[in-house]
Amino acid sequence: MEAQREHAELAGTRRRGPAVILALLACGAIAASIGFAIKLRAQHRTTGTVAAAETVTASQVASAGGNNPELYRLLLAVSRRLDALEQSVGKAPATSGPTQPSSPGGEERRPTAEASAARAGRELQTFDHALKAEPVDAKWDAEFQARAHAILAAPELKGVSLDSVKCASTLCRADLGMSEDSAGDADNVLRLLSQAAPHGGMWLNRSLLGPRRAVLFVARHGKGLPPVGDDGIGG
Amino acid sequence: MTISKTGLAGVALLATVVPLDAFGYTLSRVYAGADCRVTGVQANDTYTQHSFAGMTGIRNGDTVYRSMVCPAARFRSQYSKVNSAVVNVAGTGWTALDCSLTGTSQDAQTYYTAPTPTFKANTSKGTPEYIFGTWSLPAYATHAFRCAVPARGVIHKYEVGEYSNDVVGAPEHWPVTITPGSACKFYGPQGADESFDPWGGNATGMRNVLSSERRSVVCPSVRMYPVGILNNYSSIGQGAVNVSGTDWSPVDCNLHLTAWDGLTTLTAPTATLTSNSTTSTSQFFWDDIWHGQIPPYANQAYTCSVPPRRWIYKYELQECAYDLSAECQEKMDVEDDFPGVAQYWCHC
Repeated sequence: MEAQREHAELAGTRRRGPAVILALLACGAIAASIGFAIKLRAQHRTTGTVAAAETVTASQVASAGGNNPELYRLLLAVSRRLDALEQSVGKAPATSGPTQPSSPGGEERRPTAEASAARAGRELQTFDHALKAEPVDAKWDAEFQARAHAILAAPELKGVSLDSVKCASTLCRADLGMSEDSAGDADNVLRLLSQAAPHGGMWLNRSLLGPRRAVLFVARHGKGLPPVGDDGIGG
Repeated sequence: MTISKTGLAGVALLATVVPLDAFGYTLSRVYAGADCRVTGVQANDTYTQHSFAGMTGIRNGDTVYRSMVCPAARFRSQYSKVNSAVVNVAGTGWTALDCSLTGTSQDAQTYYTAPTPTFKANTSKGTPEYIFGTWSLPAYATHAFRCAVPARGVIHKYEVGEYSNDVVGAPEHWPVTITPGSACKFYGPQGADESFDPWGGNATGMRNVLSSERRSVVCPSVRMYPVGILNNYSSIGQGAVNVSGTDWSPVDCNLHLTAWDGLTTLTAPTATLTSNSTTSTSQFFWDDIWHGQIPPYANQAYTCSVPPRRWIYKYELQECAYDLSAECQEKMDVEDDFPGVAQYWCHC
């Protein structure tokens, strides 16, 4: 009797087996579809707008979908619905500006002009703080001052004037005046300095302090510029 | 489930000796010295020779030092660490200070110079070598080497390895090829190029030195996804050219594509041009173009008509590819767990 019941249960399991497998496969397909839709949606956001995806032609869809264009159309449709839904509840921007694509996490991948300037400002601030915190090494200070004055007097740097130099034990700051057309001269400052003596890295900005002014930091050889936050220059 | 003592010890050891950074990865690219070029207008270059060291190097055939720029593309748009930059040279007269590695911010307002490299005058290979230490660059910056090449000196090759812990696979992490403007070339006979100087912008720029005339350049780009596989969907996510000045027209820079056999060519829609008067810079921008139209082994380049005294600081391309195949999904599963393992094979 026991054996008969076990046999019947086993038979029942076997009969249900294909149905269970099909159900599992269906769940998997749905999950995969949603996953794909999310990825497509994310791509639309990264590269621009949802509208851009709507310009895809049938032949392009076929090309994109390879041997299964129907699948691609389905996923694209799901993706658009998800985008529309998300926008309707105010979670996603309708469009991304050309210089400000946003990632799914909302993180800005391409810095705006303002962000770039802000970053350079953080670098300047960090280097300045480090410079102020350092004791002065008279020997290095005198050495760098002499070198800076000699280099800045070079005929290649006729458009650059040395307004001030300040050195501590591992960092030096030089403030420069630049002539109207001095982009090449700024390049030559770094080139001549790097060829004059070993150093631990250099940094020059030519807009933070205003037009025709540049600020330069040079790290002592073997030391390096101080790191700036998590994504800083240095180290 | 049981965990063996050995397993626990292994995990503890791993946690102790492997820093978090180790879960990122490094992309290294090696460039032939022939990619270097002299500074100054190219028409004045009557002394460099490319047919050296298996025809892949570049040689200063002159009797005096000559400056050269060696542009290197970046394949990380975000912050990254340059951790394996090397320049291999040959000849006599090289000194520790002759080669440097420079970087330029995306708006070309901030310049960076890497710490002085370690110079090995006599390597086991018998040739001098410059080895740069770890260095960092901000997002969308460019970099290039510059060397004062002694008489008869040769640059064999140069290389850059960039470390990043970016997650590969997520769409926002699709790699961007960022190339310094100094890689652009005069659009015409090279010997007649009296207009462009691949020097400024911290050696990452290309400038039209003429005071009153426009000249054209072509700026070739490296593709990250050369092969279009069966289920591939390839498009340009973003393209950009960054330049100096605010007197450009949107039609001055164009993006072109040519199929591997040269029979199909595409020109992208006119770019969006934005200018910044504070920094006196402009940016041409292409967003989300050529859906599924990029054939296998197609190549891409920008062309620009450069106004007098203007620079091209950098250009970039982000290519996106989908693969809807099950095989790709399988690979991506692997990729998610081990970023970088399958990145060249498949992007979904």
